[in-house]
Amino acid sequence: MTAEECLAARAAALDLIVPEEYRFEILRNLALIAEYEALVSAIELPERLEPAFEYRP
Amino acid sequence: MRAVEISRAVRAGEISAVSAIEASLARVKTRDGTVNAVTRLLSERALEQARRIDGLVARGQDPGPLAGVPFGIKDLFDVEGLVTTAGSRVLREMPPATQDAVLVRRLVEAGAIPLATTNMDEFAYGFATDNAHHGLTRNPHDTDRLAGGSSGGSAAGVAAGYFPLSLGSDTNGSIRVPASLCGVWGLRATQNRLSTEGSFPFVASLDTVGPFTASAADLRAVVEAVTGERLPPVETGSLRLARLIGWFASDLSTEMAQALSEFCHALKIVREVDVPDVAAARAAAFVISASEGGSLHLERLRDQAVLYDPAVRDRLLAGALVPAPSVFRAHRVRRHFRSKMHEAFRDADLLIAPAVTGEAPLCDNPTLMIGGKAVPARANLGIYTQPLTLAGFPVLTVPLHVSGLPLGVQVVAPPGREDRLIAFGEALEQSGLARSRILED
Repeated sequence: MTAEECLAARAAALDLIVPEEYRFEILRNLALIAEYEALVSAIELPERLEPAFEYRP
Repeated sequence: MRAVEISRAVRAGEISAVSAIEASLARVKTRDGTVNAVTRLLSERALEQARRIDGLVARGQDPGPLAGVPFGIKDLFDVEGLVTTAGSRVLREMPPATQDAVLVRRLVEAGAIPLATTNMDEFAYGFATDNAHHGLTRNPHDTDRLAGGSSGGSAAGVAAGYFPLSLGSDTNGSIRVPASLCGVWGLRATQNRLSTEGSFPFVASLDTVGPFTASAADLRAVVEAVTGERLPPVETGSLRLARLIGWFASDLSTEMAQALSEFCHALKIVREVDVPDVAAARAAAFVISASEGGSLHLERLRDQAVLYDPAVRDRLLAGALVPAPSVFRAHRVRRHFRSKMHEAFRDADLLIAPAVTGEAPLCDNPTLMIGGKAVPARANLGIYTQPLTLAGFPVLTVPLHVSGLPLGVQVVAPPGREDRLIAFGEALEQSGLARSRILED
C-alpha cells in the first residue's frame, strides 16, 4: 500500500474528507509519525505490561 | 521586582497594589509592541482587584501571601468573562468562561492579580510561540530570536518584566523550553499534582500546568499558594546529584556544553546516569501527543479545518489517522520508561539534564542542529524535555548564570518531590549558580 493509499484508507475509516491541498503536509507528518511508531515498536515489552491509561508517575 | 518582594511591600503598606499594577501595565504598553507576549490586557479587573487589596491592607486585614502580585495567564486557562481561545480562531465564538480556572482562582485567592493573557502556539502544539493569528512572540533578551513555546508569551512576559509570575502548560516541554530560552524559572510539576481543571486540553494523558517565576523564592510562594500545602524543609547539601548522559549529552551547542559542564563542576557532580530507551520514550510521547491531539480536534477538523493554523491543522489531521495499536503500544512504553526512571533514582536524589540544545534560535532561521542536520525548531526544541514528559516526574527549569543568551537546565526529582526541586533551586540562586534574566526599567 502506498502512503497515498494508506492515507485514503485511514481517512475513509473515519469518514474524513481530506482536501487535496492538505495532503502533502499530512503525508509528510504521517511519515514522521511512522518513524516514531517504528521506534516505539522496536522496544521489547513483556506481554503482561499494561498500558499506562491510569498513569501514576 | 520579584513576586515575594512585591507582596511583602504591599502587605507592609510600603507600596500600593494599584501602583504595582499600574507599573506593570505601563511596562507592557512600552515593550510589548516588540515582544508580543500579551494577547489581552485585563486592566479593569486588575485595577479593581488591586483597590480591593489596598482596602484590606488599610483595614489591617490579611490580603494573602501573594498580595498585589501581577500575573500573566497563558491563553488556554479560563478567565471569567473571557472566551478561552487556546490561541486559536477556532474557539472565538465559544461562550465566555463563567469562572476562573482552578489555578487562576487559587492565585487570586492568595492575593495575586491577573494582568494579561499571553500568547502561545495554537492549541499548545509547537515549541516556538509562532501563532498564525496573534503573531510571533520574540525573546525579550534578543528580539531577533525565538522565545520558545508553547507557553512563550508567559515566559517572555516574566523575562520582559511585565509580571514576576505567570501560568503556562507543559505537555512535552512547553514550560521548560521557553523558561530556558528566556532565562526564567519554570516548573513542570508531577503529573496530576496541579489541577488542570478550567484549562483547554492538548493531550490530556500528558498535560500539566504550572508557573514561570522571576526567582526560586517566588516559585516556593506560588506552589505553596496553589497547593495549599507548606513545602517541607530540605537539607540540600546532602542531596545526591547525578547528570543524565547518553541522549541528554548529544547535540549540545558549544555554549550549552560548556555551561552544563561548569555547572556540574561547581556542584562537584561526578555521578552519571544513562537511562535506557530515551529515544523510544520521546517517540512514544510524540505518538500519544499526535493521536490524542488529533482525536480531540477531529470533529472540528471535519468542517472548520480552514480556521486552524495550517501547520497545526496538518499535524492534527495526521495525528487523527494514527492507528490504535501504535497508541496502545506507546502507552505500554510509558509504563516501561516509568520503571527505568525510577531505577535512575536508585543512587541519586536529583538528576540534571539540559533543557534545550543551546541558545534561542533566530526567528528568521528557526532551526537547530540534531544529529548533524538542521531541523525545524518548532517541532524539535523539546528534544530533551519530551522524553521526561512521558515519565511524568517533576522537572524544574533552572536559569543558569551565564554571560551570553539565557540557557536553562532541567532538574528532575522523583514523583511528588517538588520540595527538593525548589529547595535546590533556592540554594542555586543563593550561591549565584542560577540567576533569572529580567529586563530592568
